[in-house]
Order: sequence, then C-alpha cells, then structure tokens
Amino acid sequence: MYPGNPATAVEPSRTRSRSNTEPYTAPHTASWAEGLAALRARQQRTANTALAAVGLVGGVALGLTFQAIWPLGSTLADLLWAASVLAAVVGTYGVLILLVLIARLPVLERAIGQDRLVVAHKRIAPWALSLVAAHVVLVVASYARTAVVSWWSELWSLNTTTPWILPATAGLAALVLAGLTSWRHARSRMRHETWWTIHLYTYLGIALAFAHQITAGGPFMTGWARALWVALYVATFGSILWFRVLVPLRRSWRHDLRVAAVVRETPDMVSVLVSGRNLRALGVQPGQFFNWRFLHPGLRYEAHPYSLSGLPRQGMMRLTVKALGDASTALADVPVGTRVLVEGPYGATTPVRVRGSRVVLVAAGAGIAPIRTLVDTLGAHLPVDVIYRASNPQDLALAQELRGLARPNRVRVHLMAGSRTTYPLTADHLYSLVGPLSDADVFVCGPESLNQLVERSARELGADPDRIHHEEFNL
Amino acid sequence: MSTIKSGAIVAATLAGVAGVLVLNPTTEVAPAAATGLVSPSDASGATTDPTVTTGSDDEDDTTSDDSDDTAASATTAPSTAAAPAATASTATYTGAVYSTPYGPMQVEATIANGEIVDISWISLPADRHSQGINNRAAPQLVVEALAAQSAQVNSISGATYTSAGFKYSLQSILDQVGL
Repeated sequence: MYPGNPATAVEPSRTRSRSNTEPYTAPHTASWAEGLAALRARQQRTANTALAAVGLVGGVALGLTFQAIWPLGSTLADLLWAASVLAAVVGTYGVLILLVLIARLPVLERAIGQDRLVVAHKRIAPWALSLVAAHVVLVVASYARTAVVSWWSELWSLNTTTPWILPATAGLAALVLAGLTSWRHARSRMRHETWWTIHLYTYLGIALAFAHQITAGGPFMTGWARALWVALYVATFGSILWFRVLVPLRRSWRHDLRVAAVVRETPDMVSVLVSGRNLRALGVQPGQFFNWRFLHPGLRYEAHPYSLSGLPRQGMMRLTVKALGDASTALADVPVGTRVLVEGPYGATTPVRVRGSRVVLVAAGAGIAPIRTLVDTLGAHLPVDVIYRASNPQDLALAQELRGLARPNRVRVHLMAGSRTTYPLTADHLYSLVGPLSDADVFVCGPESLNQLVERSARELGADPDRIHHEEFNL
Repeated sequence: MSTIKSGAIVAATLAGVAGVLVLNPTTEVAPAAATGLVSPSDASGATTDPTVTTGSDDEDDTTSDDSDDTAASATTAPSTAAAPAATASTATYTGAVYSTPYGPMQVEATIANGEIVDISWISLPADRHSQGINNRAAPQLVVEALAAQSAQVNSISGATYTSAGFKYSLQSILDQVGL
C-alpha cells in the first residue's frame, strides 16, 4: 500500500529482534516522501469526492423537499406541517449519514480514520435525532390543529389509522434509546456490551421507519424522488452489510486466523500471537488496528479494537493488550488454536500521514503497540525518537524489543519508568529529549490526558498542529 | 487534520438544491391524456362520488344509478362518433391524470347536452396532509367549475396542487368533448 519497506520483526518480545551490528540501510527519503505525498493526496481527493457526493444527494433531497412544501400554506397548521416535513428529511438524511460514517467505507477509513469518523458520528447524532423527534411533534401538532383534537388523540389516531406510522414510532423509540444510552453519563454506568447491543437495534429502528417515508406523505412518494430515496437506503444498508459483515467474514475465513500463543508482557499486559495464511494480503500498515473477535466463550459476542504490535511476518501477527475491561482481561486465558475473526485493518494514523523530516513517537501503557509497528518503517527512512513512559520498569511492555531497535543517529529510544512528576512530558521536558519540533511529525498513543498534554507540549515546541497525530481511543 | 474540504461539500449540497429547483422535475404533468378519456360509463355505479354531490338544478343528477344507465344506454355513440354528436346527450368522461409528489389527481365529468352537470374526483392523494387540504378544496373546486361551466376556476390558496390537478384533468375532458 504505502511505498515504504514492508515491516519487519514480529517476534516474542523477550528476544532481540535485530542485532545492533546489522548494516545500516541508506534511506531513500526523497522518493519515499514523494510517494507518500502522492498517496496522501489521492486518498484525500477520493474521500472529498465521496463526501461531496453525499452533499450533492443531500442537496437534491432538500430541493425536492422545498418543492413539496412550496408554496407555503397560510394557516398555522400548514406551516407546522411544512416545518415537520423539512425536519424529517434533514433529520433522516442525517441518520443515514450517521450510518455511512460507521459503515467502514475504505475511502473514508483511509483518509480520515475510524476514530475521527466516530467522533463525527457522535457530533451529528444528537442533531439528527432531535430533528426526527421534532418532526413527530410538529406533524402531530399540525394534524391535531386541522382536526381540532388533542395532541395525544391525534398521535394515537396517526399510529392506529395511517399505515406504517406505528413501525416508525417504534423505530424512533429505538433510536432515542440508543441516543440516551450514548450520553456520556449513562454510558459510563453501563457495560460496553449492553450499550453495543442497544446500538444494534438502531439498524432495525431505521429500517422500521423507512416505509412511512415513501407512503405517508412528503417529497418521496412518487416517481424518481421515491426511487432516489429507496436507492439511498439500499446503498447505505448495503455498504454496512458488505463492509462490516461480508468482507470481514470472507477475510477471516480466507486467512484462517487462529491464536498461536499468548505471552505475558507485564503484570497487566499480554501479547497474543495470531497465525494465519498469506497475512501480507491483509494490507496492514504500521499504526493500524483490527477489531478482533475471538471465538471463545466470553469473547465471541463482541469485537474489540486492538492495535497490532507486530505486523504480519512469516504467517504471524501480534497484538498487545492491557487488561482494562472484561474482554481484555479474558484475553490472557484464551486457548491456543482459538479461531479469530477480524474486521479491518482500520486506522489512518500511519506513515502516510508523515510530512516532516523527522518523527517523534510518544507512547504510554498499551499505546506502545501501534508505536512499535511505526518504528520499523519510519526508522528506515527518517530519524526517529521513541518515548515510552510507564509507572514502573516492569510495566514497560516490549522494552527489550524497543532497545534492540535503537540505531545510533537513526532511532533513539527513551524508556521512562517512573511517575509523572519525574517525566512530566511538559514542553521543557520534551525539549530536553527531542529538541525543537518544527520539522517533526509527532505520533502520540496513550490515555487521553497524555495525548492532550503531549499535543500541547509539541505545539509549544513549534510542531505543526496538522502533523501531531493521534487516534481518538476514547470512543 | 484538515483533509476535508467542507467548502466543496457545502457547494455540492447547494448545487443539488439548485439543480432540483431549476429542473423542477416532479411537478410536470404526466400527460396520460391518451388513456385519460374513455367511453361513457355504462356499467359504473362508481361514477357517483358521495363526497361530491353537486346539488344542481337538473333533476337527472339527483337520481341514482338507473338514471345513469338509461342515459348511457340511450347514447352509446360519443366514444366513437365525432365530438359534437356527444353533446346531444348525457355521458360521463374520465379526465387525464395529473401527477403530484403526493400522488395522482384525476376527475371525471358528466356532460349533458353540452353542459357540465356533474364532476367527481376519482383520484386524490390520501395522505393525512392532503386529506386536510382536499376536504375543503376538492368540493369547492367542483362547485366553482359547475358554476363557471369551465375549467378556468380560481386556484384555491393553500391547495396549489389540487387546483392545478383539477383544472388539468377537467380541461382534458372539455378539450376532448369540444366544449
């Protein structure tokens, strides 16, 4: 995919992966950087084209809506009705965009990254849901006014007499439930599995609400407007089925992924080695992750995102996980031979993002996994500084391996075992390690607080904000 | 990461809106006139629509099916014969379909001796919003057209589609009959 070296070294971390006497390969920095720039431009162009198409279709839907409600009626009931149709169309298009954002479309995943797509999903969701809810209130108010009945009796009669309204009401209930449980306060109080299951029902909810959109009224009842609306739903649900279900299943099946070994790295971190056929064909780039589903009791229900700490090599790849939740804790006991299903590879925090002439990689805790895979590739072309912090020496996973990657004047490894007060990663502290950052790309992977701290420090040291890269793991 | 060109997305959206509004593809009528006009209804009790009772001065109209039957049986000519011949007797004609975003609109009219004696809606959108509008507008258009003996009635405010559909469908009948 990217024009750099294929990655090297997936080996148990207790062994040195390379000897320090290995001859130093001269980097082809110029052509490498040009290749990256061209690839980056292509990815961004296709992503922008796709998003412009989403905008164009949305504009057509909006135009059809204007036509349907124009000319505006003179009574309040007419105006309420027009507003309700507008809210319904914009809100529902927003809901479809929410689906597109999490449909794992390669064109968006590559250029934007799943983390930012999910952030956009979370930002848009409240607006889309509010508009759909407003549609219900407005349409009930309008009809109740026309029929001179109470809102409740109008709501009741709409649901009982107009075809497909009752399923739509049930669908909205599913969406609202998913929205409420995604609210930060609610979500922090429930198991991730529960939240995820509730979210699954939104697919059903959105499907249930579909029929009334082309039968009960509004701009999409006849002709090509109706065909367009149906096609939108087919395309959206089709891409989810294709990219989230069929492609991952086919990939997992074809590569026959299985647990080959589980290695304890630190008191609370394990590495899982996964074997498979022809793993290079997965096209993983350094810094990327898969959503992993281990077909083992307690783990098979839900997939979890874990970064690779070792890229595919000799029929093996590796993930390194910290025991944070139920699933990552259970992973320590997963038996060898367990079948593994993967979705991915995902993630845009890859060497393709690099534009500077040197790279600083900062990791804490389990954040070392993606940083570890970035070291090899980037170190082959640019000067690299690796900064890895943990509270205690025994918590530095892969430390031995990282030391083995150090090269004089090419790859410097800073292992910092100690408290935050000892290694605060402030601008001053960072400067003492890596100097000014105006020509550097900075990759950060750790807890949200560390990411923010390092981003701030790096800016103070002159780093271009567009060249400070981190995944939003706090999804 | 400033990879996304939001300006381009907004521009595309506006282009979509403008494209639809300029090309205006949905309000155009589907001229079903070729099939719109059919022969006088001799076997249709359905021609009398309970919602549109004209209450005209002709006593023929107030009577039910059998009067239609006799009228129709008396004159089976209009479908095949030249239009002026049709004006000499009573016959019911079905107008052309007018397409709207809410569904098709269509009327039928009974012509007796060159006079419009009855107009019925046979196709109106059934969604709740349309119902709310048409409960008022549909009968009013009929009354006005019968009074004016023409399809050139004033459009009813707030019922643009209904007015346009009514005029279009009724005019197609009058054109065919030669009124």
